[in-house]
Amino acid sequence: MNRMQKNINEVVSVLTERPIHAADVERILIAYDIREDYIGSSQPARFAGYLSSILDRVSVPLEDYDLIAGRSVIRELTDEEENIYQKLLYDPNSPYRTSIFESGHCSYDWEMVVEYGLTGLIDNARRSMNSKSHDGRRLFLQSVIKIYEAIQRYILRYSEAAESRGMSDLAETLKKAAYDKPTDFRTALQLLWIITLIDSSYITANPTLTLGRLDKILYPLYVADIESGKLTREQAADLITDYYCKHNLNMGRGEHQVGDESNTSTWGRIFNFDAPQYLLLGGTDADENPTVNDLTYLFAECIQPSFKNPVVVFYYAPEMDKAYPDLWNILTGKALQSSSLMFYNDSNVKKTFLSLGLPSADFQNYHHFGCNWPSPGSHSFWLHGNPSSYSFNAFESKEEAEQVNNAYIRGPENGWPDVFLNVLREFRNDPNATIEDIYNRYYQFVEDFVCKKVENGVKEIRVRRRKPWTVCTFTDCFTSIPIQNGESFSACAKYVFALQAFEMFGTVCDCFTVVDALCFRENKLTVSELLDAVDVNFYGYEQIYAMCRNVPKYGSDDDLSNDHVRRFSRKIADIVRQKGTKYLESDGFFLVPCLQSDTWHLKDGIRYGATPDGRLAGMSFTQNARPANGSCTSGLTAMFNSMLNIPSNGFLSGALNLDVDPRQFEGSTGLSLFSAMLAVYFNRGGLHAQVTSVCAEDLVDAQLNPHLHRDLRVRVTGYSGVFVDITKKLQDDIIERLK
Amino acid sequence: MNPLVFDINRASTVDGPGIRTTVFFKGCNMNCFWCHNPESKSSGSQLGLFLEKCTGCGFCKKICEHKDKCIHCGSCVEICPAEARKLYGKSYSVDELYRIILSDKDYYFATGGGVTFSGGECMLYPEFIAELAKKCSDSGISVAVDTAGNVPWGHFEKVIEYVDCFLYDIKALDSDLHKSGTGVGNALILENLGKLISTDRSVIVRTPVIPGFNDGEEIERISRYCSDRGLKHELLKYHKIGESKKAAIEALL
Repeated sequence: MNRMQKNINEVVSVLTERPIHAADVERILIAYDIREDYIGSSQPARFAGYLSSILDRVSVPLEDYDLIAGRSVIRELTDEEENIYQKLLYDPNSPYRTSIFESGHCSYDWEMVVEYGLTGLIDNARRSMNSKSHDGRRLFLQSVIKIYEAIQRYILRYSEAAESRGMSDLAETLKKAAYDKPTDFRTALQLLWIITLIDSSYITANPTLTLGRLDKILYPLYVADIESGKLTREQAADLITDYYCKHNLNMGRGEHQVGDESNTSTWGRIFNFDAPQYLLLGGTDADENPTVNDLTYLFAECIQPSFKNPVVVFYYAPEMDKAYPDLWNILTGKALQSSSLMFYNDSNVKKTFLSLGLPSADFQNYHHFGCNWPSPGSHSFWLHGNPSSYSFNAFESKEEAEQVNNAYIRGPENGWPDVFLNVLREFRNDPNATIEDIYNRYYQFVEDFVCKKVENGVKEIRVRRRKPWTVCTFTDCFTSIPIQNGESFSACAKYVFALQAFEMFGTVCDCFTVVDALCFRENKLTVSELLDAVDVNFYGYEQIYAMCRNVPKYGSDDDLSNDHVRRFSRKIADIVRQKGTKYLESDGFFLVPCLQSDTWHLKDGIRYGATPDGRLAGMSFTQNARPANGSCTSGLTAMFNSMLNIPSNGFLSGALNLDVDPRQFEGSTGLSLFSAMLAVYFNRGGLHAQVTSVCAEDLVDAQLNPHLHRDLRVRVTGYSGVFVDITKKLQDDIIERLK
Repeated sequence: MNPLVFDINRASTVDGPGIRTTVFFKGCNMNCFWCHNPESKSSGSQLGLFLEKCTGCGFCKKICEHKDKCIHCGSCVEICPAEARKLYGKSYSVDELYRIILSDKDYYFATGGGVTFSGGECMLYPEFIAELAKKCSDSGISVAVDTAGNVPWGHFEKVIEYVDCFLYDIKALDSDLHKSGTGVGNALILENLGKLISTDRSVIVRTPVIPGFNDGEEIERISRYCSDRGLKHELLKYHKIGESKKAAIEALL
């Protein structure tokens, strides 16, 4: 068995057997041990101190077959450790609780890391510090330097461990990664991985992170190595595969967005619960030319279908299938194997940023760091990533603190379908009401909501910016503005954005369609009659239920439904564009229009009553931009056509979990049909797709015999899940999707 | 009167090359015992009742205005909360079908696909098929016809100009065997195939492999027959999806 196969086998075993993530316990015990060491220090000094202590003391495990160093500690816990672990998980007053420093959704400037290396970054920070007279900023930068130096020592400990095991090549690479500006492919990849490992093992509880456009960032080093004979393509492939392996060893065991944390088999075992990390490939340059190179191919070729992370995001440029047919076939082939791979339409993302008013230079290197939404790049911060304004302790009054505490509004209290029903109730007894009236009232609510969200958001940012040097995070070490300014990224980022997600988009579109069809066009029902039926979950109104069910829905490519999807999606995108960018110029703050529901379509669906689309109480709502389960009665192309009514410059997020029966696209002919069909969808303006290729029968069998299906991966919302580990409700939802 | 359609299958990958829209017409002049589309046999509309879904709520009876004789109006289908009832057979004009077919033209063009007219036996309606096929062909959409060939040659003459590919079913070469399985002999079918071959249209012979009927030497004979004539031969897997539909139709007879 070759070296790389050992690595892959280890990952498959970890992913299927779910051993304990003992790295968490190590961290907990060290943090507990040093809990009094930094009392009274400022947050930046405390954070740097904690992290340095942890990095100086955690294990540096290695295996003989490692090409890239940096592993989680994987072993059984002792009884005492188990006790500590359980306390931490379930006891809010556990003494082992230590502050979590940030909560993921980070965009590091990986280009900067590779350009300077750790020593170069230290020099930059020191220069910046020396130029500043403000004590707070100097302290901030001192803390940043302390973190860089701790990372260097941590890497050096790995180097010594490698040396002592006779792995001199690896030891040498690690030494270079610690001190030098990376001048070769392996050193750069090693450095990037160590920073990712620290982030996901020792910093955050939800290390959702962009791994950067690695095919661009690493390409010059790759070419230089190949040309000088230092590296072969095969060796580079092995390094990339090991980089992929390491992600899974560290982040492969839990379930992200499980729907209901009390009902998952992994929640109780994983503290750093699993989060997707996004590796970005493809895309276009400023002149809209595709930026594909041999590394794009190599990163794509190395995708292992059985792995969960990283999630490879391929930025599809128009007609890329024709310009790079072999690359497109590799990618779609991997997709048909249910790999952790998603396609995002580069053109849609850029058009949408432009329509929001951002200058094109500011989003050329946009990133993905969260569950399916892009940020303009490493100069932008997601408002609801930690730390919040509370950490800055800069409120001017108690009232202000309370106000800002309520700044985060996910959506209307009971969701967007509830808004629809409330609006409809206003017209219950209005014989002159029209569908236009209902739309206009709904839009008024959207507008009011967006305006409120914008005002709340800008308050939050302005509080942070009063004392931006008082908080230091890991992100601050790897983005350029904090180093230049001596200020936390969460306060000084050029752009700050919040999501304006229209969750359950499909459900709302279908409600409009049904009301229009039954109450206005066909006059089969009055609004009042329809509401009477909906209010009692159609009990005793089964005929009305059947009528509601029979109206063709979003996903069927029906004319009426298409009209409603088109007009509704355009209008809500317009509202966000007009009202959500009020503070773009003054504060760099804006709202991102999304059709994102994550797994709220299930959680909210369970607690909500019936809706006019014929959805019964407790059933799931529609997920992300997808039509409702069971509505795509006319096949995949009809579903694509329906979704293409959503404007291509309107939304930055709206995952399409594309479920296909593998029997439909078997063999090379099947692959070429699937590739071409998907390309048509993107060339016509489709935003996103990620594929689950599995038969519903197999999923049902996996529910009955989970031990036989631990390797079954499915797409959940913007990431991959181990089917047998996700909640029963979510499993059922995916089975319904496939039907 | 327009022929009735019992299904339109978009994004099909099994009815000819590429991504296709397959339009299934009702009505067939054969009676294959294994037919997986039993709802296609009659040219008129038919009601089906899937008994396993029926909750016995009685709404269908309550709403029915033709209790003495069902006219297949479909009112009971629309009102059934359990979705246990299905009406097979809907009338479309040529323009209506053309519009639906046109919706997926980008997918056809990207994959070498197109539209396939199937059934039942779509060649029972040569005038309608010819008009629709012409419209499609004029828009650059490739047209295939899935036929068992048991129609006068004149029917083929009406459509052939607009059809790129014939998916031609040969169930058996032995005429007696053919008759035992389908209710008709195959002389006309083979004669029409011979004539088709002499045209410049693409012909793909397809054979459903029916256990106990043709799954032995007969299949080999058909394969040889095709290879002798330079014809592509595809085997179609036998499946039992027709059984539940047959039971649904019979439940209301």
